[in-house]
Order: sequence, then structure tokens, then C-alpha cells
Amino acid sequence: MTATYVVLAGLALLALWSVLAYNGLVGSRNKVDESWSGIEVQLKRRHDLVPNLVETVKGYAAHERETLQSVTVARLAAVEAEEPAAVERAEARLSGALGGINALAEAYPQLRASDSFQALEAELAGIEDEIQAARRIYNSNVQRYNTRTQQFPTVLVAAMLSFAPRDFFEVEAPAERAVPQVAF
Amino acid sequence: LLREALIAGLAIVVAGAVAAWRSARNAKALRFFWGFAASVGLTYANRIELLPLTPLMGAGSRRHVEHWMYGRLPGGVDGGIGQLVWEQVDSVGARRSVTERNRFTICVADLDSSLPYFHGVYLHPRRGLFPPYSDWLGRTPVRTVEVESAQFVERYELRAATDQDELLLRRLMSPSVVDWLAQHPLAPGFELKAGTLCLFVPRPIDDAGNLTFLIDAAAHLAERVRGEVTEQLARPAG
Repeated sequence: MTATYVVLAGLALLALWSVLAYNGLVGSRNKVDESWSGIEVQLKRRHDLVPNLVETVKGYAAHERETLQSVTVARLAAVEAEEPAAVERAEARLSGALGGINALAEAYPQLRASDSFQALEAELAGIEDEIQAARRIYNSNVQRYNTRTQQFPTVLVAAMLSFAPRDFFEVEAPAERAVPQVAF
Repeated sequence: LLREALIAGLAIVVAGAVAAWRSARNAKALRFFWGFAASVGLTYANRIELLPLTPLMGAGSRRHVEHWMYGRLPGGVDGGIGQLVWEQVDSVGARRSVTERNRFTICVADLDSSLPYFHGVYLHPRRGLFPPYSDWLGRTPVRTVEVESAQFVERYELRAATDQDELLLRRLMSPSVVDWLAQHPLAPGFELKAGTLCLFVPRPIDDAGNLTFLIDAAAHLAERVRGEVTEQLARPAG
């Protein structure tokens, strides 16, 4: 009789633990999804800003068609991208193209000095900061979620109920990856 | 008789030693805070009472602020920093007893321009399973706000007044602010209400490094609030 109670108590504890582990995994996964939405909000802000930036640059450097077109094309690709991996690639490309606009501004002092361009540049810099922060939050959430799905004994629940690990999000312009060269 | 005299003598010596130790400790704290205030261009007051502008500033049944240093904070905001002592006093008949005594470090900034926009934003460090102090927001009507960062949620509890504009709150708690708070070494909480920003740490801080750190954090957050207010003012009405 006592043995039956012990087994029943053990099973009840196991069931309770499974429910808690499952809820914990769902909570972690929802945080990952929430933070992905946070990234999308910031990326959309950047996408919305690009046409204004292109129009402003056109006013001063209309014949720099190639650079402006590359920004427009990269923006379009970024807007259309949906899967995290595709978004990652498209955003890296857009960052690179926006770097081209900065280089243009160096060559056109009037553009650089214009109020509207400076305001857009400042806004873009602010959005870039927010994107970086949103990315850090997302990656931190992914790390916690992935760790949970891989740790014993939660891994048993994760494997049974298909909690797949998520990928980190790395949006960096190629220039950011480059190692700075210092020459004396 | 001799034994009683010895015990009384010993008690007097112990009481004298405790009084001397306390006096030396107070003098040392006074010298430190007075010197710190002078070094950052603030004015020192040993003990004052502040208006209960935010729930924390009105916490408990009685409260005062010690080592209050006030004036122009970095970033050009008027305010002050000091140690808020708040107590819960229970009365049974004519007898009153202190049931809880807390000492927080607070940094207060005047942000009058935020008054129409922020009706109550309360970010408090999580108190855990065995809370070391009671929840002073108890009777204030608030709602809990979800934030997307797991690290932030583990550390803080964000609540807002029921009439607080959700969009404005979301813009204030942007990813960069959430990330900054989630990783801040002091884990400061804050309350924003009635045109006042009250940043706090639920323990006394008595070293120059962390006091400066807290002032900088308040200046950073005040700048952020002012930025949101400026943007709000620039938006067309409606």
C-alpha cells in the first residue's frame, strides 16, 4: 500500500514538473518571438526612413544614380525578406548600401551641411542604435531559450514536444566586421 | 552590592562605547557626503523631508531623507541625491512601534515638462520570494507592463498608472533603454510621476563611485524622458 502511494506521489511530482518545464519552455519561446517583433519594428522604421534619405541625396547628387539605386534595391529586398536568415542577409546588404550614402556625403559638402540630411542622419543613427539593442535582447532571449531546450532534464520535454532551437540574429555591415588597420 | 555596581559600571562603559562609535560613524558619513557634494557642485543638507511626489517618496507611514545633496545635476537637470529612510509604524492603542525600516538611495530629477505625458511609470527591482521590504505601490492603481527582454523581466517589474499612454510608455522603454537597464551594474529602479523622476537603489550607497554612477544613470534617463517629451511636442496635435 505504501509503495503504491510512493509511486503515485512520484508520478504526480513528475507530472507537475513536466507541466512546469513545458510552461517555462513556452514562456521562453514567446519571449524570443516577442523580441523578434521588436527587431522588426526597428527595421521597419529604418526602411521607412530610407526613401526620404534617398530623395534628400538626389537633390544634391542626382547623378550618383548607381549608389542611390543600390540603396533602393537593397531596401526593397529588406522589406520583402521574411525568414530571419533572409532578413539578416538583406539588412546587412542595406547597411552596406547606406554606408555608400555616407561616403557620398563626404564628397558633397553641401549635402553634408544641409539641415534635412543632418536630421535624417541623426535619426538613422538613433534607429541603428535601437536595432543593435533589439538584436542584443533577441540574442539574449535566444541564448536562454536554447540553453533551456538543451539542458537536462528539460531537454526531454523539449525533444518530445518539438521545441526546436532558434538561430541568433547577426546584422552587421561588412565594414563592422573588418578589423581596423592601424598604421604608424 | 559590589556585583551590581560592577554590572552597572560595565553597562555604562558599553553604552558610552556604542555612543562614541555611533557619533564617530555619523561624523565620518557627514564628512564624506559633505565632501562628495562639494566635489560634484551640489549643496549638502544633513536631513530633510521631501514632498511625496512619487509613490516611493511617500512610502511607509513616516519618512525622511538623510545626506541630501541637491542642485544642478550633470546634464543640466535640477534635482538631488540622498538616502531615503522610510518606516512602517503600527499603532496598538497608545503604543506605536516601527515594524519596518528601509534605507534606499534615491536620485531625484525635476522634469516638469514630462508632467502632461507621464502619469505614472514604475520600474521596481523584483523583490523575490522573501521580500526584504513591502510593496509601497500597494494601493496605487497600476497595471503590469510586459517587456520583451527575459533578462529585464528577471530583474525588474514594470508597472504603469492605469491612465498612462501605452504608446508613449513603449517609446520610453525602447530596446536601448531596456537593454541598458537590464545590464546596469546597480540595477536601479525608477518612478516617473508628477514631473519627477526618482531613480533608486534599494540599499544605502556610501561610496563616491557608485553615487556618481547613480547620478549619471539619472541624467541618462532624464535625457531620454526629455527627448520623448520634445518629440511629443513636435508631433502635430491629434
